[in-house]
Amino acid sequence: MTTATLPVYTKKDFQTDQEIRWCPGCGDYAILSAVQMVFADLGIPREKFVIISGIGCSSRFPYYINTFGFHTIHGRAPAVATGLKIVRPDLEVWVATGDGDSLSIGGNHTIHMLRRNVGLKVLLFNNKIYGLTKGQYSPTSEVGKKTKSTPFGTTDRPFNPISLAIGSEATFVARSVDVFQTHLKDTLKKAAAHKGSAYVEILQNCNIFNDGAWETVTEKEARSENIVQLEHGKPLIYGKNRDKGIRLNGLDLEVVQLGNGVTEKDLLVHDEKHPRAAYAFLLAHMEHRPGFPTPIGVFRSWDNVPRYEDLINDQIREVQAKRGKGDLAKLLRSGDTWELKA
Amino acid sequence: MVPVIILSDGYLANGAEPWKVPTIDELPEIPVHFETNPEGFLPYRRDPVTLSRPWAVPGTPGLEHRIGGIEKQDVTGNIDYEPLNHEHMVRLRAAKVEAVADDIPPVVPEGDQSGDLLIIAWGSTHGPITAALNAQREKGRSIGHVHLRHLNPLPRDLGDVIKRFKKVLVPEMNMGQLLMILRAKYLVDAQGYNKIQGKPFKTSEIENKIEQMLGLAPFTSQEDDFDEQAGE
Repeated sequence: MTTATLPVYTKKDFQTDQEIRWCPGCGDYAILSAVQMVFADLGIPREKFVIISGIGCSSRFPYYINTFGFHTIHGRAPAVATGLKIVRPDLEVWVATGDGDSLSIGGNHTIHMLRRNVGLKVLLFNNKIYGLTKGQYSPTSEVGKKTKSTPFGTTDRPFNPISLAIGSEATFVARSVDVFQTHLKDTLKKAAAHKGSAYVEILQNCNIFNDGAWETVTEKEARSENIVQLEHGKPLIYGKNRDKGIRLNGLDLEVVQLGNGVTEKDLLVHDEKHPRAAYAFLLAHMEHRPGFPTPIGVFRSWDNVPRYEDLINDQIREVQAKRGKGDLAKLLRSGDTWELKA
Repeated sequence: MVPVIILSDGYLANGAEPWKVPTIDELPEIPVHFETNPEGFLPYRRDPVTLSRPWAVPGTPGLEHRIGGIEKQDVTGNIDYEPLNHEHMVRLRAAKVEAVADDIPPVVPEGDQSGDLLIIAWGSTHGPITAALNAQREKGRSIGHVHLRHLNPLPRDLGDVIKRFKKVLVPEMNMGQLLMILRAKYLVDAQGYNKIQGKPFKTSEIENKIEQMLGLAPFTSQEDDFDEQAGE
């Protein structure tokens, strides 16, 4: 038996010589760096990676990674990526998108990509603002937010991207944060290993048009009180002194203080394989509830759902095995055709 | 690589007529060359004749590159925001589309090759125009008809054909989109004949317009033409 040689890469192999046009201090730099490092670690030939993006700050991503890249049309990266993945299932196809690109104009493409379980990795850069167009509210901006396009505050209820993905029957749904490099890389590796659609929301700071949007999560002093890490098979514990937890109460969750008879054993133990949508929804909606921490990590990871590209290609193989390859000439004459003879 | 847009209209889409199904052997081959050689590969180097870029598909070792809407430098494909580069690239892309005209056959009008009136049209108006052309030519009138299959780029010799006729008529099922292009591109005093009723031209309408253009019938406004028809 011969051993295949895996390519050995470093982060540098995935850098390009293009000048990066993100604002200094943008959270996108941290995401770029994490992705380059993860790609180098995956042991996959560089030419097998394809990054496909839509339009927006985040969608400049392909230009800065030395792989194949397509900077496509607004909101339509999932359509281009789905097409490529069907004809070339051997490729590692990653989609880079933002909250405007994929949840507003591209909302439709996003939900259908997820329900089909196309084998794509999706990086949602969520900064809750339109940055490239200089500061209009996005589908994830919080109610009442004053922006250039909402001088008196938004009246829109925002999307919760995790909830939307779960509602779309996504098979892998995770959340990480631009500045949490270790957690981000770990999450990206889990996404890379997933066979179907892997949806990763990355909380990303736009320091020019929406600075501090995720402050409660990222502030060093506050973060341990405001974040709960989801780890498969482990109880939901958080707090500076790891003295708070999440407990299931009927059909709802509650925050409890450990001690006075409440122990770890009473807490909810995270199950990323949980087959019921209600479970993941409970976790997804903690984010907006007063007094609740924001969960990060893998909300759901289902590995028993077939991939779209496999179903399509299997069907083609099966039908061809039974009926032979398609015949264009026959197809053209299969309907109501006749010939006029002189 | 160049996108192809096929224009149609409601009459074509909803109509039906016998159509000769081609045999597969008689269809031209469209050969595609995928670049595989990484030696000296530059994603925006162009074919000197067609001005098209090399086609390197994802998964080809050593040919990793990025494409997209941000302006690129000629040849290298690097992102380039320089004003002069942008102008160069815009002109280059326009020249690439224009080069498609090399594959468009010369224009041969139906009917007369030169004379008093040239009818230029496209799409579903072919039938009534042909019928009107035949009827009018039988009456001894010298008329040609060009039914364009390629609207962008236009055939290279269209301007020369236009010059062989005294007047130009452009019947269209819209407000005169081709008319505007022809007037702008060839500085010709072409006249539009526009019907936007979701119904095709009648042969009699085209014939009447031809006679007006040739000074054989009193000129009426388009609305009057159609009012008269409605009253028939």
